[in-house]
Amino acid sequence: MTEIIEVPTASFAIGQAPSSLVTVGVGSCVAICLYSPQHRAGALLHSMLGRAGQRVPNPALYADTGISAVLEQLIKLGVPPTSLTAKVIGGAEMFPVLQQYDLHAIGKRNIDEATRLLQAIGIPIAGTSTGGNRGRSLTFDLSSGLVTITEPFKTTPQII
Amino acid sequence: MNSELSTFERDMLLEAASITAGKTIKAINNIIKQPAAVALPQLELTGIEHIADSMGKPQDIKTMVLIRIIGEAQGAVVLVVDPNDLPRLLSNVDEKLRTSALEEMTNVMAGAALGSLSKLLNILFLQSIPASTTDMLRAVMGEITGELGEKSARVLCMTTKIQIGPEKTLASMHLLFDADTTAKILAAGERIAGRHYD
Repeated sequence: MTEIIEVPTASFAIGQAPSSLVTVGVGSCVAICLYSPQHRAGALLHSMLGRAGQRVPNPALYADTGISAVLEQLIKLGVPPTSLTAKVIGGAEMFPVLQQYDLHAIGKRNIDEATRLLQAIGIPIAGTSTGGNRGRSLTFDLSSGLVTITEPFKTTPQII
Repeated sequence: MNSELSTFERDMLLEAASITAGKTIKAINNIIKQPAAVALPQLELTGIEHIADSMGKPQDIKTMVLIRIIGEAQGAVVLVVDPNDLPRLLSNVDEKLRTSALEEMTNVMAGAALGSLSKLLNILFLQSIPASTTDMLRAVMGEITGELGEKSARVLCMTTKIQIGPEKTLASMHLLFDADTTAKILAAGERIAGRHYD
């Protein structure tokens, strides 16, 4: 039976086929799906920010400490980082009118940081759905590695 | 209520929140000429990742107006309304102008709330221009709290639930402050209390 594991903000989950990992309401946050086709296993990390400061109350809050925590768990399960590919979702700017004044551009920075981290670790990025001005929800199917992304007011989902 | 706030701090913040809620109600009455009522404000000092989920279901579609608090204090004022309630809430406003009207309404409400807080605590709260969007609650709040959480992962949230008009349309106003500003607010409250006890 397919198990659906929900991943709240600032957390991650790890699973194997035939499970699916689901997260709702990814705005400027970044969701990183890591998948090993060989093991039919993967992880979904939903982080709010790119880089952790000095204090890290919750590693999954940040992409950098979150990825480290995820990889540690995957290695414990016998899934080496070399077997993984990544998909990166999110990084929207939810208030389009503020973009022209916005020095923060938090969404873009989150995506840039996630991309930089994955490249540094050597995990290839197999797909992205980033930017824009809409929130995204996603279902990560661990049988196929496919990620189905939906947005409010959009009838056709995107599959990457 | 988070255990990191002492009883004194909680009482002081609730008193401040009640004063701002009263000023907000007056502002609503003046703008939309409809009666409004507020529930007792609620306080939360918590991690940025918990704010959105404490406001409702993450996938709920809401119309939200954001006003950033800038200057010596850092934070945000957020008005949350069900988009289906907008025609009822702003029935006397042309449909095309409803978003602008809601932004202006939030601007006035934020001005009243922050003005009263500023007077009470002697802290300057400057506000940005309003911006609005309609999307999933968690997606929007994630951006707002993420910005506030870049320096520290905890925020203070003062929530006022508002019933507007004869049909009692529900809205909620949230005053969010980053960790540094929360510390300034608490210190100002202690100074005021100290003066009173002298």
